[in-house]
Amino acid sequence: MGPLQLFLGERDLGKQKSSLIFFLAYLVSLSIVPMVMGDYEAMNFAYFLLNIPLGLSVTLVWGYCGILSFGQIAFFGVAGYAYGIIAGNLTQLPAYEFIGIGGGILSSMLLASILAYFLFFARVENWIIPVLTLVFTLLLETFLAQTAGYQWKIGNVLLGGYNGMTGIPSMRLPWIDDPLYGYSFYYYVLTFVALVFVALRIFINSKYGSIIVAIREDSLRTEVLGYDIRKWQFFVFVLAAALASVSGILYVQWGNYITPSQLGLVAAAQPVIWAAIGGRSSLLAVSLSTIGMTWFSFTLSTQGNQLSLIFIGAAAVASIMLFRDGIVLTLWNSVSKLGKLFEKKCDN
Amino acid sequence: MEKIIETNNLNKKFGGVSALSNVNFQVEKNEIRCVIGPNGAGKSTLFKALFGLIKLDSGTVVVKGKEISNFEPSARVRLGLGMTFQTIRAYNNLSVRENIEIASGFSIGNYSDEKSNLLKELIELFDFSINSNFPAKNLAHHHLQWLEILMIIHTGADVLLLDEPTAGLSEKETGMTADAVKSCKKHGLTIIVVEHDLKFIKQIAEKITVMHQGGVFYEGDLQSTLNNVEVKNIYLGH
Repeated sequence: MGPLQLFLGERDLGKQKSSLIFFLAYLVSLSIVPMVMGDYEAMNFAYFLLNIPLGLSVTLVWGYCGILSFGQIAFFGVAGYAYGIIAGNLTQLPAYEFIGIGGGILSSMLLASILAYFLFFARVENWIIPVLTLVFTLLLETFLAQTAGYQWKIGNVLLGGYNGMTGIPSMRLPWIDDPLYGYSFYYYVLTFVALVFVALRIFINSKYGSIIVAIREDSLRTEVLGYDIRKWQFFVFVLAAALASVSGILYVQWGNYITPSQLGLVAAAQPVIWAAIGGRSSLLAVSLSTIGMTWFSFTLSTQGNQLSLIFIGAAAVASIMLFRDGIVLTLWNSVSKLGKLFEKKCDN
Repeated sequence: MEKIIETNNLNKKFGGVSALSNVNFQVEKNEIRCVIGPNGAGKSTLFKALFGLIKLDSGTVVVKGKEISNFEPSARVRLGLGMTFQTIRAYNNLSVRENIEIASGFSIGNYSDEKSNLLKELIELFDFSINSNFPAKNLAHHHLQWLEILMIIHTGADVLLLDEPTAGLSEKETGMTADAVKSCKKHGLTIIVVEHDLKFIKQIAEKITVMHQGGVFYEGDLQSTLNNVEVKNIYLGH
């Protein structure tokens, strides 16, 4: 199967060739959004986009592999801190931002490998993993919160304790002196996120995606067909950490800071809520719900509304109770069914 | 004849209950062995022990001359073991084609002539398409049973552990399953079947192992087993 066939494969919404029109429209509309906004608004919209890999990381590990992890935000945070430390100390080198990006992603993957080894090779039962990953995230938050003081300086970079790390270098392209900001940053994020989305979709529609889904469907059956499911779960967990780390790095390049609260309890729940509301078994649905929910949360917060968390929580509960497959996925499937009914009536 | 499976003093307790008690079980290559016994005798536990799905308290499992007691289940599949479960475990939400693809390791057709011929015979016998894109959950019960058997053969298994493969099947479907088992034997496979259905056992059994209270109670051919008074008594609870 070629890349196009894999992109349109069975494991996500938009299986037909005609769906390419939708994807093109999706990409084009995201591309022209900043043209109707100013620089500042474009930066804000970039914030919604940069969270997509984080949402997709939960979709991969929970929706496709059946492992509910509250630890994705930890890998988001570790990557952000690692980027800040590496890029912040290497500003004299050319393309230090790229070294920071590589270091950030690898740091998260390394940490995820250690955690995954203990989770999957010890055959920890699935229901315990959400608890363990949440505890892991909160421990990391607690540790980072107490890193105030000069003894927590790594090279030139202070970890900053509860106030967090500031002055994190923005992204620059090698041939441009000025850091990316506004429209340029927006298109940088859009390109990065689009590439991640396409690559992940091709992966999930490949035979490797089938094996991952088989583990979700029946891990015992999969093991007794000859697959070492511990290795597969390990691999998926580390890959999901890499995805979350992309969001973490884009985040710190966006805001130039990161604090331990970005790894807190509320933050840990957010990507799980996006996946639940969108439809955790669909990359496309979760990409849409991530944009929607981060926009919603951002809009409420900036308007001084203290109830944004309550609204988000209520949306999550309503989604789980009324739309078991997720709101976006349910709507898409309903529209598809209506379309097929309409086609049938026209044929008759 | 070459011993393909050999267990030595397998023991397993769940709490105070002896699920397996000093089980010494040997199966020869290309044999059809039926394992029978009342409920709770340890038949399914024996299968799980052979596949490494439970941790034994003591004892060893030897398959094709290799001691595999510490092997992971996936490694035992690579040695040639395949197992169907008491409650059918196919991927209900995936298509029939995907079930087969996953079982085959995405190398359908990459088999010896013998294996290819066996699969062709079975697919003709079972009369359903393994290339169907319909979800497996839409299959009738007997087709699901047969799908599971086809899946384990597609892994390349040459030692099949079938746990109650005729549960819920009609007489005709049971007969077809018996034909499938004989076909597997004809093509060189070894088949061990846990069953309660006497009609099915009578059609296929070469040797029978009777289990009771976690141990091997009796072993013999079909006739001697059926005529054994003590075997009858354990079924009737005397």
